[in-house]
This record gives sequence, structure tokens and C-alpha cells, in this order.
Amino acid sequence: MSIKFEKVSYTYFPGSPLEKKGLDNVSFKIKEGQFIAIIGHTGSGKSTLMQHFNALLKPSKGRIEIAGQTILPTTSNKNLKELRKHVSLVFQFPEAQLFENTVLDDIAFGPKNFGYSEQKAKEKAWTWLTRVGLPKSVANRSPFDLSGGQMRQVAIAGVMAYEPDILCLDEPAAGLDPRARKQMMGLFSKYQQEGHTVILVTHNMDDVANYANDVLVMESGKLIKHARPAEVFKDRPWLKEHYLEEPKASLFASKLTNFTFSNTPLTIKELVKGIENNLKE
Amino acid sequence: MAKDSIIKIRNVSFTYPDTTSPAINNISFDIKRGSWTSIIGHNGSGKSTIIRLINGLLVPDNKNSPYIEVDGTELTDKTVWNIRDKVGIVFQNPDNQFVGATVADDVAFGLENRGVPRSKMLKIVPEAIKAVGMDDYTNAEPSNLSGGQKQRVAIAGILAIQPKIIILDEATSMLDPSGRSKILQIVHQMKKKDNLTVVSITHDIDEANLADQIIVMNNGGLVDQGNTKEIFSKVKLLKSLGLDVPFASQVKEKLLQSGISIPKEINSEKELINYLCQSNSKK
Repeated sequence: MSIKFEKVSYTYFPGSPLEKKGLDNVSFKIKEGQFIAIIGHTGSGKSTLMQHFNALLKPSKGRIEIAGQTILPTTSNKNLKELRKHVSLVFQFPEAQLFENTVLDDIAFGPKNFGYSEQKAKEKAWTWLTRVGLPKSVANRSPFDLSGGQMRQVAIAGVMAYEPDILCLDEPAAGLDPRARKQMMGLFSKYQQEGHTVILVTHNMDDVANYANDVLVMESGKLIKHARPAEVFKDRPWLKEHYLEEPKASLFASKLTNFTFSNTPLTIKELVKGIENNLKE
Repeated sequence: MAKDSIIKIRNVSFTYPDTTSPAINNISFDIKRGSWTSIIGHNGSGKSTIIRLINGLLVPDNKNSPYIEVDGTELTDKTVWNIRDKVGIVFQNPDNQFVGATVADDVAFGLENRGVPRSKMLKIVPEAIKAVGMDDYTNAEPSNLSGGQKQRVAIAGILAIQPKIIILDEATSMLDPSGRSKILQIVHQMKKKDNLTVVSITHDIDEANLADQIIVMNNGGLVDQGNTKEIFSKVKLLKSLGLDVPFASQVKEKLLQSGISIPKEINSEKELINYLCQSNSKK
């Protein structure tokens, strides 16, 4: 199956003085089961695009196919629960949405909401509590007594506990320390390898290089590129023109002026290998 | 040293209610007037607690006679409001710090609170908004802005009250790279212009690299303190604390592992690149 956008536009506050184009004629097709990154600046339409994946925003024009359903401007809000069980959005700072008395109850809320029995929901909650890296000892504590990073883990466990087919995340690792960030990105990568689709909205080009296999680049509400990471980061003048950063590894490689790299290195592993090849030739 | 310290912390500990181990454990340090200090440490290491102690949101444990001084004034019940006027904090999440109906109102809020006359506000507010590159949005509703734009407005609000010290509590972590470097550039300019002291709590190694001084924290204690060169050459220490290591140091380590010899004194990115280019032309 694939996710398909056909000429999707979205206008904020249509007909009012505040009218603003959020998405402008966006079309693409992506295969499910991939790790997809959406990049672009602040205000480029990344978050607007993400909110279309589970019809939190519906297109003003155009058509979306996702998780076997079709979303049109006229789609009613009534039958969206099924879609939202399959496609989950995790916003920036999801910890702001915690509300239950205990960590375990908070994680179990999602599965219960989507029809799991009390017991099954608790089982799922235990599984995901440990999978996101929380110690079992926090299960019966109030989520509000935890550190910011742990609260983030609880919120993410709460979404992963009902195992959506398509998991969309907006900067999920922002503000985490490097160890927690790496652990969390590893968690999403594993989730994708287990057969789910992960869609990551991010500014971090190293995460794009390390984890994504497909990239959507947004600018002023338009999709300006849809390609594999190697393709996106190959064209340095194009990146400059659109004020996009490149991964640390390719930036470092570009400064090694008398080295030749057959492919632009995107990760530290590729970079070190490339340096080795040059020096040992 | 002590004379030009704008912040002095002596023997400060802090324990949150209902917990047994202290979040801050007997810490002492100085921050120089006009300097840029980065505090690094993993989540829960006590970085944010320290900030809240400096502006009196939290009160130190009553042991070892703790002492906190800001801009020559000892922090007490009587001076806390005075001290908060000197310390502007920009938090990570701008959504939690908005009050105004428009960008301009929001930036003016801190000034209104301090009784600044309207005539003065009319001058300060647009300047602050311009400084963060948000002048096209002066009358926009903050809730309609994207996360990065909101953060710029929050920073404008702080710049408007012209504090002596500006604390960035992971304030740039939600910005895109160009937005982030823009903010850091703005803070740099303000620092230079007004001899502002900057304290940044950050996980971003590039942001930490801008500092004159780095304080490394772990489990509520101060582990190390020094300039960027001293601290970032301690790859093992940083790694053991779960902290980021500059990219060049990581590359160097990996090259060493694969049998390429690199002299010990090569540390910064520039040094490493020069060394590698030389080796490549010599072979």
C-alpha cells in the first residue's frame, strides 16, 4: 500500500483577512513501511502537511489516500476514528498532553480508547513502558513527577502502545540529551523495521541521513523535492539556495578539498571509510 | 576574579520535596560579567534547577550556609524581585510563555509589568521585534505563528526589558538551523552592545561551542569547568556522561580506531582538516 497526495492544497482561515496558504498543490506517492523524513524551514508547511495524514486537517482542495482510506475536502469527521487508530500523530512536546494519575494509566489510555480491553491495554502499556526505555519502577508514579525526558518517553509510549501502522512524529527528540535522543531514534527505526511506517518531521539532517530512506522537502507550502537522502544531499548549491543544512559528515567531507569521494558521505561511518580510501590509495 | 563576577554561587544544595537525594549537591561557581557560559549535562543532571535557584524560583537547602549573589546583590526574600529584573530567562517551549494578543502586545508585556512609560515602549518594542527578524508579524496573533517564530517573539520580549543576564534554557532547541543561528547571532550582538552576560543550557554542541566557559554537570554536581578547548578534548569524560562530543573529535576517534595515526595535539575541526589534507597530499 502507499500514501498518496493528489494536488492537495490547504488554506488557513479562508475568506478572512488572515487567509494564508498552508499547502500549495502538493502531490506525492510514498510507499508504506518506510522511514520518511519531512524537512524544510520554520513555517514551510511541514506541520500542516503532517496534520493531513490523519485528517486532523482536511484538504481545502485535492485528495489523499492513506491506510486504505480516502480523505477529501468533504470527508465527514464521523468516521475518522478508524483512520486515527492506524495513523497517529505525535506533536512537539507531547508530554504537555499527559493527564492520568499514574504512568501506566497514561500509557494504557490510547489502547483503551481504541477498543482494547482493560487488561489487554495494561499489558500493552507494560510492554511499551519498557520498550521506550523507562524503568519499571516508574509505572505507578505520577507522570508529572518525572523528568522532562521521561515524560516525553511516557507520552510516546502512550501512542506506540496501540501500535499504529503509520506513526508521524514532529521533532520527537528535540530537547532530549544526546543519549536519550539516540535511544529514541533507535526505537522509531526498530518500529519501522518491524513493518510500520514512520514519518519524521525534523530539522536534524543527521537524523535524516542516519535513518530515513525517503525525504520530502517543503518550502512555502510547496513540495520542492521528493527523493532519497543521498539524492537530496548530493546537490550542495541547491541546498544553499534553499537555506537547508547538510549532514555533518558531508559538510566535513566538503572541507577536505584534496580528497575524492565516489559518493557524498552522509554518515560518520561513510566519511571515515572515504577518508581511509583516500589515504590508503 | 571575584570582583567582576556577576553571578556567585557558594555551597548551594537543593532537594525537591518528597525526594531523598539532592537535585543539586553542594555546588559553587562564578560567572564573569559579560561572558558566555554554557551549562551542559544530561536531562535530570540539575541544569535547570540551577537556573531556578539563580532567580529565586527555588530556595536552596538550609545547609553549609549557601550563598547566591547576582550583580553584586545577595539573593534574599527582599532582593528577589530586584534580581528577577536583571535576569531574563527564555524557556524551551514558547507556548508556555505567551500572554499578549498580538506579537507587539506580548513583547510589551514585560515592560508594562515594570511600569515603563508608553512613549518609551513605542520605541523599544519595535526595535526588539526587529532585532529578532519578526517585524513583518508585529500585529499577528502569536498562536498563529510556527514554533520557531514564537520563540523569536519570546526572545524579543526578553531583549525588550534589557536584563543584565540572559539565560537560554534550551531556548533554541525548537528552531530550525537558520533560525537557531540567527537567534544566537542576535544574542551575540546584544551581548556585545550591552555587555550582557549569557548563560545557555543546551544539548547543542555548536551552541556550547560559542561559550567562553563551559560547566559540566552530572547528578547534581559540578563535574568540570573550563573553556571549550579544554572541555571538548575530554572525549571519554563527555561520553561517559552521555553527552555529545564535537563531530571532529568523533571523526578523529574513528580514524584512530581504523589505524590512521593522528597526533594528540590535533583537536579542533580546523586542525584535523588541515592535517588530513596535508597527509593526503604527501602520500
